[in-house]
Amino acid sequence: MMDRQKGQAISRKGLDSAFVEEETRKSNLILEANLLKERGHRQEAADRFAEAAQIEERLSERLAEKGLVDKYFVHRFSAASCWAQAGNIYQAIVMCEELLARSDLSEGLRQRIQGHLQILRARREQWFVSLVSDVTAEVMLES
Amino acid sequence: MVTEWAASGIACVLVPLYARMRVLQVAQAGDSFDYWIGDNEREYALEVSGTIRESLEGRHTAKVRQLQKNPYGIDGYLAIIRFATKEAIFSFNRYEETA
Repeated sequence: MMDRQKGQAISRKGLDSAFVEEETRKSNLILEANLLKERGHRQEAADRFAEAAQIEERLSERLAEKGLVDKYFVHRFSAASCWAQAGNIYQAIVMCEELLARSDLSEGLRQRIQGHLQILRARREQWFVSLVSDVTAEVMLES
Repeated sequence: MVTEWAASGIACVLVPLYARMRVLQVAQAGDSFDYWIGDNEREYALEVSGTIRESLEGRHTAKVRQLQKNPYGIDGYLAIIRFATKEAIFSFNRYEETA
């Protein structure tokens, strides 16, 4: 938890080398994904984001076991963000909603997640609408 | 883009040298900073910014404001690099809670 005397920081006490290795691997995947996205390689970028999301989920579970709550929130929200960037909006929304259900979430992070969730829900709405019209158009072309 | 990556490279040198920490992981888009830095005990935010000729002080002031809006409520470091004059500002900034 936060320790005001030493400044506001996130505790990472007691994390082993296996955790650090996974954390580094996940970070490299996100950097790679961002580079691939900028170069227009959307599928490869999505693959990297999905892999990073799975690692973030595992990391957050280990943080919960260790009681590192603030760091748990960082990695859990990062997992949701990675799922969204991989195109799995459903999973991203579910994870954001789970985080918002926590009473120990800080106000700043709560606002950030609420904003993110609003964007995700709007995107899902757009996707539903365009999917129905695309499928309908396809059926009309075939008949 | 090249300026941004070059500034990140310099920040990777400044962090262990002046903060006695290392770069741990990249932050997520929208986090209001670029990287998480720390040691074995604690983690802080790091925002990196590079410019060719722009004023270091002006950029620094703007980035302090940005960093202090981070959603995690944590303190953080700023590494601002001006390539034309080979100058840099590396500063520690307390999180300021806004009502």
